[in-house]
Amino acid sequence: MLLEIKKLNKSYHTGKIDFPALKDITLNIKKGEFTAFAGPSGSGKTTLLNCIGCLDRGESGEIILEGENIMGKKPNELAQIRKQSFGFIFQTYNLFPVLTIAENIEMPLKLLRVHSAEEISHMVNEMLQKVGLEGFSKRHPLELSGGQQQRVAIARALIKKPKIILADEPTANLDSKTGENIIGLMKELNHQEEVTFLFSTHDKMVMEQAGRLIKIHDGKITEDVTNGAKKKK
Amino acid sequence: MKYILSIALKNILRSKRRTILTFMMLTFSVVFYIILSGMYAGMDKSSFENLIEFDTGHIKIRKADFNEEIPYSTDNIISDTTALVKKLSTYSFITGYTERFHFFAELDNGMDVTPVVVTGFDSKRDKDVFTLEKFIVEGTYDKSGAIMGIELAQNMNLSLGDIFYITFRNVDGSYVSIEVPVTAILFAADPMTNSQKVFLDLEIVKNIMGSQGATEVTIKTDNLDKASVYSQSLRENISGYDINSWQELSYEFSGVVNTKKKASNVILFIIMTIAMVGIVNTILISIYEKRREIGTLKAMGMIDSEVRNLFIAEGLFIGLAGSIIGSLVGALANIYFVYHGIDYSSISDQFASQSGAAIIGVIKSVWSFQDFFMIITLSTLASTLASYIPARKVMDMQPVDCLRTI
Repeated sequence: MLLEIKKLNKSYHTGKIDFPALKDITLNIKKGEFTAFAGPSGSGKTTLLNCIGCLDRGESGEIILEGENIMGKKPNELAQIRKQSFGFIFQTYNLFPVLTIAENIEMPLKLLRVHSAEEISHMVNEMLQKVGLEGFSKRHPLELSGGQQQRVAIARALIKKPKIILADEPTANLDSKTGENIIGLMKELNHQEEVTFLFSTHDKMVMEQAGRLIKIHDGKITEDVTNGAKKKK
Repeated sequence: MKYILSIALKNILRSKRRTILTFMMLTFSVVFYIILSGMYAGMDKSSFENLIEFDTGHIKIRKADFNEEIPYSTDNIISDTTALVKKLSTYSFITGYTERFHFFAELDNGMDVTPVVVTGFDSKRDKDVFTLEKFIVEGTYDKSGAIMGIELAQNMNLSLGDIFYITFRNVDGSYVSIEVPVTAILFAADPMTNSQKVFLDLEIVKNIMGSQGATEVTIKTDNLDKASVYSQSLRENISGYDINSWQELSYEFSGVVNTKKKASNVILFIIMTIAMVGIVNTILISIYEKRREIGTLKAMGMIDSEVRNLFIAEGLFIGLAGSIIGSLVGALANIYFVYHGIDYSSISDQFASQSGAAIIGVIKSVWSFQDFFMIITLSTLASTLASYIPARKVMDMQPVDCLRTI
């Protein structure tokens, strides 16, 4: 099993009020899955992705990545796990405006410090080709459309071949046609690269593309459907 | 680290206007310091040159029990300088020596009386050590007359050819009064020479004082900077005299120089603090603006200290660029002050007394590469340190909180 989540709980504390964001979340993710977390705003899907990606901490429970519990790790250990095992795609793309497209994409590899400059250059070109942005390497993010920027974000997340790519509402800022293209690209890369994709959405069209759909409501998993086979919670 | 530095460089170039404003604060501090320190150093250099030129020479030999508190007392006379002068002629590093005889007197123009210092000098030998005659602006030196400072002449309403009287006590304690004509007037860069000194022929002074000695023998050596080494050598070989180099004789003035240096350092500290506050502010704004990017970097696995270093590097670049640009602008401005200087003639007396400088007229700046190096290093370090304070904040920021920023 690639990822096991056992009885994960997380609350937000606002003054004296506790707001439970995740309640006893338990689920398993296999390698190569293309899984969507769906639910209304405030349902806990982003919090769940953040906890899986070590961006946020759960309060209790276990998150086991390839047999290792990552809950309770120190900040620098979590940074190391994020560096080696996760790629992130954000709703707002989060590209670095001062860097060129190529520089944005190569950033995770530079941080890994295992590839030579030549290898990096080759990998970036290959990735640009995969996301359909050949010839854009010298441009800057603000010279690109929203869809193109998200393609760059996908390339950046994928280039280091992480175990899991986490995408928080990757199509929310895009029009429906561009959003469809982006999900199509993610799905294609999921097949080609055998990288696990976990993403959150509340877009029905995107949900339909998912191999597995996990519905969350008020911090609880209410439905888990794999290739049409429903597993009620 | 190289990668972090390259991102930091791109980041500071991104907010050009803000970066330029911060640069300007730092640049202004550096320019101000370079001009100030150059002028101070120039003032000190001129002051030391004047001390050497008009008073100390390279090395001054006086009576063993020379009394600094009453320097013009007849008790300070070396009764016979013959043996001393003979010994001095054997040292190869001595390129010239001369006897001078100072005493205190009253100058009377027939209407007013003023105290003066009379110096008896040997016009032939004096040239080997001092360049007194170079400063004569009116008349020519004549053994039968006196050279007088221009300010003293003006104050006493004396001009060339005018007769005045000098009254003093000789070595026997008797009052003596002589009549002397003004044969030359000098305008020296030394305020005391201009306002209080009268120069007479050494032989005349010896005769009227009733002593064949002198109050000092002043030496010029082959190397000004080695004067202290030479004076030590003379002390070891010639006993019975008070022998001091110009460095040793100017220790009081050196104290003034050090005090001025401290004062300029205080000014530098204040200006630098203002610039540092600007840098703290710039980095804080930069951190606030880049919260999402900080979150993204942390999401990609950059550890907290690396993200912090990114902002420290921004401070380092601002400091380095600001101080280098400041040094270049300061150097350009300093060219003017090195070649043209500032003319303090109209306020020189007041200025000389307030600044502690033995100097008059135009003060020129000097190049101090040590100061350039110091200010570049200091500004870069201070700027890096200033950016460390806000950059530490990045360490405590959780990636999820940064990414949540709208």
